[in-house]
Amino acid sequence: MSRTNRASAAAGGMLLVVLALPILGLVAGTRPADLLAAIGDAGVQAALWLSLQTTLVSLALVLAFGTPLAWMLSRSRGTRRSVALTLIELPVVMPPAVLGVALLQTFGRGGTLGPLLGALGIALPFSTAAVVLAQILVGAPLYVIAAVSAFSTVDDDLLLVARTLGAQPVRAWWSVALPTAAPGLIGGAALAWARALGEFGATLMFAGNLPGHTQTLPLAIYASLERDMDLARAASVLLVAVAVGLLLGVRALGTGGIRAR
Amino acid sequence: MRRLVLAGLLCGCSATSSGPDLRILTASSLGEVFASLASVFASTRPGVDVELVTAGSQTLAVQLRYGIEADVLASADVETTTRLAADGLVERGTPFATGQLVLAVSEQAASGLGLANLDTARRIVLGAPDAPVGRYADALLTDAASRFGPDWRRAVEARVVSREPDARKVAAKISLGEADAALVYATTVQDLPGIQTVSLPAALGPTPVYVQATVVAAPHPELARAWQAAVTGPAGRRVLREHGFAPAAP
Repeated sequence: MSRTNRASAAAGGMLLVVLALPILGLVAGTRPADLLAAIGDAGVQAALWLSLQTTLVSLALVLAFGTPLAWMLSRSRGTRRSVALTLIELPVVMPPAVLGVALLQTFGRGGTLGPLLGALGIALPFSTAAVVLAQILVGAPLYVIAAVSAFSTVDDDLLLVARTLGAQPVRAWWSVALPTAAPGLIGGAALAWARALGEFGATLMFAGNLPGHTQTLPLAIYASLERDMDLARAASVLLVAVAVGLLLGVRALGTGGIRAR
Repeated sequence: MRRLVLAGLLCGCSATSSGPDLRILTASSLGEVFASLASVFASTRPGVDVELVTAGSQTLAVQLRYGIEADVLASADVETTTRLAADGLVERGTPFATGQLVLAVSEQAASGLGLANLDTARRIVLGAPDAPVGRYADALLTDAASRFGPDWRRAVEARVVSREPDARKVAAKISLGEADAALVYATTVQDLPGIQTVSLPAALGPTPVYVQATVVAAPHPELARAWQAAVTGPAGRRVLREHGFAPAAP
């Protein structure tokens, strides 16, 4: 092993340890019996179910709207592109609780759009839709940023070739641009989904905390911390397990899809 | 020099503080009054820095159980301190003040909202069942149900849109106008804009009791006791009263 390799292995290994240790500690401190109790707990089940439903809806919306946006940005240059990218990156920098306040200031009853939404009979705060909106706000930037860089690798000439072979623009995009960018898109989607699953601060502020309606698994874990620490820990392990399972699944789907081509 | 800065970053500590830091785990409903008490205490003891860690009582308990270094715990209920004392984490607690639960009504909500017609509020916010402010609210609703009937209780429960983790977050939802009514401490909402308070019949529900205790593993036990004596002393009692708390009888 060269000196550079050894150095990077040491540095990389150190970071891996720092990243993995808290999770390993959490898992090691949880008894299997507690995990079974958490899986059987009605409150945990309801929260997990709500988390899965809301994150799948928010992921679908992020993909549906984020993909065209990312494509557009990958084809544009100059000030407009940098302004748009900065706007997209902002929610990543902002503390989630601040995002929650911002959501209330915008969509709340006393917020900027409050009177308009009220006139339409729409009440977002304290609703399941508010949970989804908070998840989109924290998840979408991760997907769009990854998708922009994935689409940037798509060669315009390839699209042109597809067009000259008679493909319609949409079909050319679908059969050339999308497969080329797929690994990056899938990685970004997995990251966005995982971030939405773990979302806590903005949800608590904007959607509140009501079991069955807005209490996602992270909120349920926080709520049970003092009442039942064993349950809180076991539910956290459950959240980690679900995340690991889905992330691995998505990655396998990604590489499988690429190999099949 | 650069190494020093790096070491500071790594351990998250600073080398600038001169005297001992008295760290007090403070229930969120005590945030403002303890900030005042801290400046009074620090002014009598040059070199002592008082550091307040503010969160819901149940969060403070978790932090203590996981070994956060602190000298004093001040909780918004008796139960939190009693449970921690039973587990040997804090010494026996001393009640130092009582508070009062009120019905906080958003100014934007229809006026004339009271306990009897609370079931007509469109959105009600309460504290989480594990937070003292939520437990007091539940007990009060149970008491009130014996007066207004089980249908009233069910209708009220149906209007609850959120159970917030601490008193400040309950109050914030009313102050922002996002919810119409909440059961919360009088002291938490008294200085917030956009809120009208409706006092509740004194016979209903429990009285919130504030308890402080020395942490068993306190780095500065002497200072911790001096703090508690100062809170229950004449100057401390005056500050408590100024902030709307009723100091416990000496």
